[in-house]
Amino acid sequence: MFRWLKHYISVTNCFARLAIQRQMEYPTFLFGWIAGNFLQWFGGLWLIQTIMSRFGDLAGWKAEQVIFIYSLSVISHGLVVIFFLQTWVIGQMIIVGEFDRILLRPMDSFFLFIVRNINFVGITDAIPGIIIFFHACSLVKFHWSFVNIVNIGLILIGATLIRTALYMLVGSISFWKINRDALSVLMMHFQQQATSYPISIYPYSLQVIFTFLIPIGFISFYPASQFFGIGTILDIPFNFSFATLFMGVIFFFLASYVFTTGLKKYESVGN
Amino acid sequence: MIVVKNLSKEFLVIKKSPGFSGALKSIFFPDKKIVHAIDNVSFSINRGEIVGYIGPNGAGKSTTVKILCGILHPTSGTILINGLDPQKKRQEIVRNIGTVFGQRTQLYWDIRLGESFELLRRIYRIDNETYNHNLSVMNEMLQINELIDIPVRQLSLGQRMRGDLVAAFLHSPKIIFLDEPTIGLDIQGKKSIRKFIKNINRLNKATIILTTHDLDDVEELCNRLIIINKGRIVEDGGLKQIINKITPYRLLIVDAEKIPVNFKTENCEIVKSELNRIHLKFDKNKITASQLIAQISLQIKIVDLSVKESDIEDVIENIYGQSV
Amino acid sequence: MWQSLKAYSYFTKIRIINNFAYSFEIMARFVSNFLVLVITVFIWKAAYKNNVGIAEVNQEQMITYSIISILLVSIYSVRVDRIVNERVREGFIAIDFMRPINLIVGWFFDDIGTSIDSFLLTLLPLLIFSIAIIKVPLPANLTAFMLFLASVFLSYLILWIITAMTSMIAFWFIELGNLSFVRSQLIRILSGSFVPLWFFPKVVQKVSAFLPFVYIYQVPLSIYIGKINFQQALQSMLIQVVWILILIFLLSLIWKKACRMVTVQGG
Ligand SMILES: Nc1ncnc2c1ncn2[C@@H]1O[C@H](COP(=O)(O)OP(=O)(O)OP(=O)(O)O)[C@@H](O)[C@H]1O
Ligand SMILES: [Mg+2]
Repeated sequence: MFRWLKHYISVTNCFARLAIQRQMEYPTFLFGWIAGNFLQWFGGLWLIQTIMSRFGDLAGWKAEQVIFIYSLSVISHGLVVIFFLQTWVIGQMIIVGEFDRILLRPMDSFFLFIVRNINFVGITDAIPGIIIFFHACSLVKFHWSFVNIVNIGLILIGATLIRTALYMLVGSISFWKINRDALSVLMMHFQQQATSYPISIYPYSLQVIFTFLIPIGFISFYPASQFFGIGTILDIPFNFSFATLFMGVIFFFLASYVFTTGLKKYESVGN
Repeated sequence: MIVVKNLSKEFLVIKKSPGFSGALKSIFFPDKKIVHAIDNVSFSINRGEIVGYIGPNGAGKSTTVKILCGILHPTSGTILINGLDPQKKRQEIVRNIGTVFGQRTQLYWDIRLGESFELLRRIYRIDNETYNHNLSVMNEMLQINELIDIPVRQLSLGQRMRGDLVAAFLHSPKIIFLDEPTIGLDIQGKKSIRKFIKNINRLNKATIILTTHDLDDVEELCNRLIIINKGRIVEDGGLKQIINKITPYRLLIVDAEKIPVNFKTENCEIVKSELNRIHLKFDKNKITASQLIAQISLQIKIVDLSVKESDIEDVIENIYGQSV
Repeated sequence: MWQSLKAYSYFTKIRIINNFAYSFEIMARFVSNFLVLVITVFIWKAAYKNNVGIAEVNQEQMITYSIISILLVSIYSVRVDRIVNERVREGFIAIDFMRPINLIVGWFFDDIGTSIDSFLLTLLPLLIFSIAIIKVPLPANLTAFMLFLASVFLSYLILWIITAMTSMIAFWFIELGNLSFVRSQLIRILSGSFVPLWFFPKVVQKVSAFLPFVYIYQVPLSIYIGKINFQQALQSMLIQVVWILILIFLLSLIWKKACRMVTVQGG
C-alpha cells in the first residue's frame, strides 16, 4: 500500500515538473494569458460594479456582496484551470488518440487522466480572483477567524470539484458522440455567468435545478449567503462549507464513474 | 507467448454522402454500416520471434495491435498473452509491453527527450540499475545520448524515431509492438533501426510484432510473416515458405543477338519480349534454370543472362492483386 | 467580377457543408447562447425590480436589447483568427499563398458561410425560443428595423476586420496567438454587448466613442430599441463607415507586410 502510494506520488510529481517545463518553453504565451485573463476578470468586476452602482441592489444583494460571490467564482474557476483543464478537452484527446497512450500504461487510467496536465498558466486566472476576493473581503468586513479561513478553504475545494465534475460529465459525452468539445465551452460560459450573481434572481424552479441537478449554487451563492446571513430557498441547519464540499465530492465521484464508463465504451468501440 | 483465437472486431461507421443534401441527410438519417476490421483471426506467436504483420492499408493491422495491447476490446474471440487476457488484466499486461506507433510519438513534444524517459522510469517503476543499463545498451546502438538534451520538437523524424524506440524498450518489455517504425525514414535511418531491432531481439529474447509497408524491413527482420487482407489472415508462415507457395517461380532474363519472332519454349511463360532481350517466367518445381537455358540455347544465341528469384514483393503483389 | 464572386462563394458553400458535419456543435452553440440569454434576462429583471425610475431605458427595452444582442453574438461567429493561427502554426500558409485568389477575401467568404448556417441553426431557434419563453423582441419601429439591418452589416465588417487584423500577429509571433483572447475580452467589455455603455461613467463613454468597439454591438442595438433617433442613427452609421475605411486601410498595410514576410521566409 505504501509502495503503491509512493509510486503514484512520484509519477504525479514528475508530471507536474514536465508541465512546468513545457509551459516555460513558451514564455511569451504568458503575456497573452495575463493580459486576457486580467482584462476578463477585472473587466467582469467592473461590469458588476457598473450595474450595481446604477441599480443599487440585485434581489436584495448589495454590490459588495455580489462582488464576494463573484470572487469565489473566479478563484474556483482558476483552480479548475490549474488542476483540471484536461476535463475540457476530452473530445480532442479522443480524436488525437491520447487515451490509447493512457491505456498503455500500467497505472490507473483515471489517475493518469487527472495528473497528466497541471496547467500552471491557470494562476493568471486565480490571481485576479484572489485580488478581487481580498477586495470584497475588505468591503464586506469579512471576519478573518480561523473557522472562517477553514470554511473558505473547504468551499474552494468543494467548488472546484463541483465545477470539474460538471466539465467531466459533459466532456464524457465525447466517448459516445465524437465532437470537438463544443459542450465544454458552453459549460464554461454557463458556469461563469451563473456563478457570478446570486441565484435567487431566478425563478424558484431554476433555483432548485441550480441546487440539486446542476449544483452551481454551492460554488459561490450558498456559501456567501451564509456568511451574510441572507435567507435562501435552501435553509439547512449545518455549515454551508461542508455542504459545498459534500456536493463536490458526490458529484466528482459521480462524474468519475461516468468518465470511467465512457472510457470502457471507448475501449470497445475505438475512436 | 501470444495466442489469438477466432478474433473479430467490428466497427460501426457512419457514411457521409456528398453535397448539401448529403450533409443534411447524415444529420437526420445517418447511414450506418458495419466494418469488419478483423474477421475471425487466429494465430499464436512464441517467445523471441520477430513476426511481420503485413497487409495493405485498412487491412486491420493497427486494430489487431490495439486489441493485443488491451486498448481496444474485441467483438469476439479470445486472446491470451502469457496466459492472461489483456482486456481483463490490462495493467499487468501492459507492464511487459512496449509499443512504437510510427505515426504518433509518445514523447513530450516541447521538452528535452530525457524528461520523457524520466517519466517512463517512474511510471514503470524501473530501478536505477536496470534503467542505466538499458539506456547505455541502447545508446551504443542508437547514439541516444547525443539527443537526450534536445527538445523533441527540434529532432528530425529519424532522431525522434530513435527516441521513441528507446522509450518503448526502457522497461525491458517482453513483447514489443512496432507499428510502422520506419515510416518516413531515409535508407540510413531504416538500416540503423533494423539493426537495433535485431540486436534487441537477440539480447532480450523479446517477442517483436512488426507491422510495416516497407518490405525490406520484412526481408531483413522477420523469420515469420502473417499476411492479412480485409481483416482475414491470408498467409502465415516462414518467409521462404510463403514465397515458395505463392510465387514459386523465377525470372530468367536472356540477352541474345536476335530474338526470333516465332520464339517458343516449353514449361515457361514469356513475360516480356524485346528486340534482343527476353524475360521468361518459370516454375522452379517443374524445370530447373539450367534445363531451361539448355533448351533456349538451341534456338537463340545467348549473349548474357541472369536469374531473378521472386521475392516478398512479388508475393505481396500477387496477394493484393487478387483482392482488388 | 461575377466569375470571381462565384469562386469566392465556393468558400461559403464548402464551409456550410463542413459545418453540417458538426451538427452537434451547432446544437451546443444554440444551447449555450440560450442559457446565457436566460441568465442575462434574469439579471436585468432583478436589477429593474426595485428601480422603476431608470432614465436611460426601461426594462422592456433592456430585455429586447439583451435578446437581440445574443442573436447578434450567435451569427457573429468570426473564425478567421483560428484559421490564420492554425495555418501558420502548421506551416500551410505558404501553400495557401500560392492559390490564385485573394486569401483575405476567401477567408471572409468562409466566415460568411458560418454566419449563414448560424443564422439558420442558431439564430432562428434562439428567436423562436425567446419569443416563446421571454417576449417578442419588437423593434422600436419599421424604420429603426431597416436601419438596424444596415448597421448590423457594417458592424459585422468592423468585427471581422479587427479580428483578421489581430490574427495576423501570428505571422510574426506564433506564440502570441492567444492575443485574440485579449481582443475578445476587450470587445466583451467595451462593445456594450452585455452592459450597454450608457450605464458607464461619462468619461468611459466619451473615450469609447473614439474606439471601434461600441460600433460592433451597441450602435445597431440602440437603433433597434429606439434608444437613438433617426438622425443619430445615420450619424453613427457614418462613423461605422469611417471606421471600416480606416480598418481596411490598416488591414491592407499589415497584409502587405505579412505577404512579403511569407514569400521571403516561406512562412
Ligand atoms: N475507430 C474506428 N472506427 C471505425 N472504423 C475503424 C476504426 N478504426 C479502424 N477502422 C476501420 O477498420 C479497418 C482497419 O483499420 P486499421 O487501422 O487496422 O488498418 P491498418 O491495417 O492499420 O491500415 P494502415 O496500413 O493504413 O495503417 C479500416 O477499414 C478502418 O477504416
Ligand atoms: Mg495502421
